[in-house]
Amino acid sequence: MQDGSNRRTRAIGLFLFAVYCSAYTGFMATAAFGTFRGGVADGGLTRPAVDGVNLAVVYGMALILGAFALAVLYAFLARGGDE
Amino acid sequence: MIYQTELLPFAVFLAFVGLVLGISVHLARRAKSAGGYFAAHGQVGWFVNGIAFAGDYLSAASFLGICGMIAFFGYDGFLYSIGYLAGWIVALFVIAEPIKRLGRYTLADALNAKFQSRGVKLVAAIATLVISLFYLVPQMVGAGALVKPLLGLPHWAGVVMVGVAVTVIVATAGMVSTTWVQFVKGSLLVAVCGLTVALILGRGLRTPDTAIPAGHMQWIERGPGGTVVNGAPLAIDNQLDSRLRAEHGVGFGSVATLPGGATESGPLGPIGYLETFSQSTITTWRKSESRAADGTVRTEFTPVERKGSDLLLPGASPTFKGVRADGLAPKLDFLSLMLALFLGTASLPHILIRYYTVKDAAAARKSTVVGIGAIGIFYVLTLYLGIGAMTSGALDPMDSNMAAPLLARTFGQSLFAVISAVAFTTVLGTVSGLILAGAGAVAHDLLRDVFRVELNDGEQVRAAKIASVALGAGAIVLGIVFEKMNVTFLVGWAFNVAASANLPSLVMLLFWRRTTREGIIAAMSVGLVSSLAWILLSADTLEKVYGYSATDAAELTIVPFSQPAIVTVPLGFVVLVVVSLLSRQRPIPAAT
Repeated sequence: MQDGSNRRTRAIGLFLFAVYCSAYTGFMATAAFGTFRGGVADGGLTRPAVDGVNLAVVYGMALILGAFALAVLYAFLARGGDE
Repeated sequence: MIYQTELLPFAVFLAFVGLVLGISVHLARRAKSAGGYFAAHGQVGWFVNGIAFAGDYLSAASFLGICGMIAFFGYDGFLYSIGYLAGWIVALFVIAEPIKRLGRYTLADALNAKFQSRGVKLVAAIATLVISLFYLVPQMVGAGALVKPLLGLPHWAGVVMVGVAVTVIVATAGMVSTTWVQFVKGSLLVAVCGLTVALILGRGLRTPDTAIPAGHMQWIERGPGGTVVNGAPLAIDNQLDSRLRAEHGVGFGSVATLPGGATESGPLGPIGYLETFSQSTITTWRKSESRAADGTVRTEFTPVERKGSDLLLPGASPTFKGVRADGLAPKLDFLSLMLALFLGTASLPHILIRYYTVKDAAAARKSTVVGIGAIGIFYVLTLYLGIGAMTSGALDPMDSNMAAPLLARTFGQSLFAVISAVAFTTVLGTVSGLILAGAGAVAHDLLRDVFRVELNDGEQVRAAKIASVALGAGAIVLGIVFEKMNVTFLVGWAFNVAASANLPSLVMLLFWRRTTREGIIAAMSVGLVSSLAWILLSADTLEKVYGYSATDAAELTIVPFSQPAIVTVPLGFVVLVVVSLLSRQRPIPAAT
């Protein structure tokens, strides 16, 4: 039973890791390849996102707060394996 | 700048350091055995351990370096906040629970759990020592930066004070005292930064009494004949910002114009603050340096008005300039550093050993979640602290590491005193963890397991204490040598080396059952050596450490960009797979 719980916990962890990796990769790719053309800001992270605050700030904040949200979700889903 | 000692900051500083040392001495009796000294008997509660994670992790680089980088260059400092926090996702979802199941006291214990190989122990111990020393340097530099305004002492004095205090902490009670020091420090740091941000939002943004004209210039000359500022000798009443303050009522770093031509915004909410900042123009300062034949260095500062919206985009600093460049190599440099920050956290020895202080894998997981919460709050706050410093009119243009304490001083001596003391405690906590990780590598891994020195429990602890003193001395020397470097920049190196040396082996040991000891030894050696060599031969190092001009550094370097992780981490994985397949060892069961 313990091995089964460990496997389930690990699978949940790896799935959430893949979700976060996708978001982080999207941020890096947008910053590196989608925001500046010829050194001039154009689209990408420069776009306004929330109340005039640009996507760079909102995406960055979302990556920080989203990490905590995923961590709490993981702790909740994995609690069965501790019993 | 000249900094004068004030009584209140000095008293608060002494109280904080006294508290920290008192905790260590009080807890010393709980660390007589190796289990107590290296892992606090595995009995630390998950919540305390989680906050202690924050204490371990929120180093001088995070507090002083990131705030300074945002204050000088805008969003780029926040990229570090994002990368540092993202790294905890790797720690939580991939590393935390298996590493707790595998290890005992050190990273080498976990890597060697299935092999009982002296080679694995040797390489892991060397990697731990190298990474810890790399990470120690910026902490000590941060300590030196802090004592200048706090106690009016030179940089080296701060470095020596931290070195001595930390050696006392680690040598007295090991992981027991280190954990509680970090718990106190982590809690205080988040709370004090939260208070400072509340004050920043309450003050809002405002323009100076009179606009700073475009042609304005401040200069400083430092040479054999002494230091001259704007034509007169440097003195308390003739500093770099003295004329600026006299003429415009504000020092370095201020708002040029607010939306709608307002002179002040009044109190703002968290989103309103960022929105108002992005619609304002900010007076930043361009620095140019020239050297005369007699060795005199002249540094000139001229104001440059920049849109707030531009300062909230990546790529304005030298470190991240690749984001705005057109070629592939500069962009790979940016991606490589972000990859190092993402993968480096879960590979840092002083973070990994904290998983051995809790009782089981579930507690390791819960403490990581608590750590991510506390660390995440702090990193959100860094953006406001940095922008607050950028517009505070209180920057020291010669030293980006001073931005946060000088920002605090604009709210009064009390906050300055508390924030400087907390920052100093921050350095103490992180350095304690690093020295403890290094001491464990020397006493537990190298002496006992590699060189087979017969040590009983008490002798192992004594050896670790002697190693802590030696590491503390080494850290002091390095902290003095690297005085002028931005501490966040230096930490980036440590993350590159940690990710390259440790991560491939950690991940493959946990997830690939055909991993062999030869594969681990080869991957760690190649990752460590290749990342170190890459960094030491990079254009950044040639310019900032060896003193070459930017042009000469670009011509001399033999690596296409400065951050190695994007090459050396995959290289570690490839080496591990190839050597494991070639070595004739029986497959091992995958870790569960």
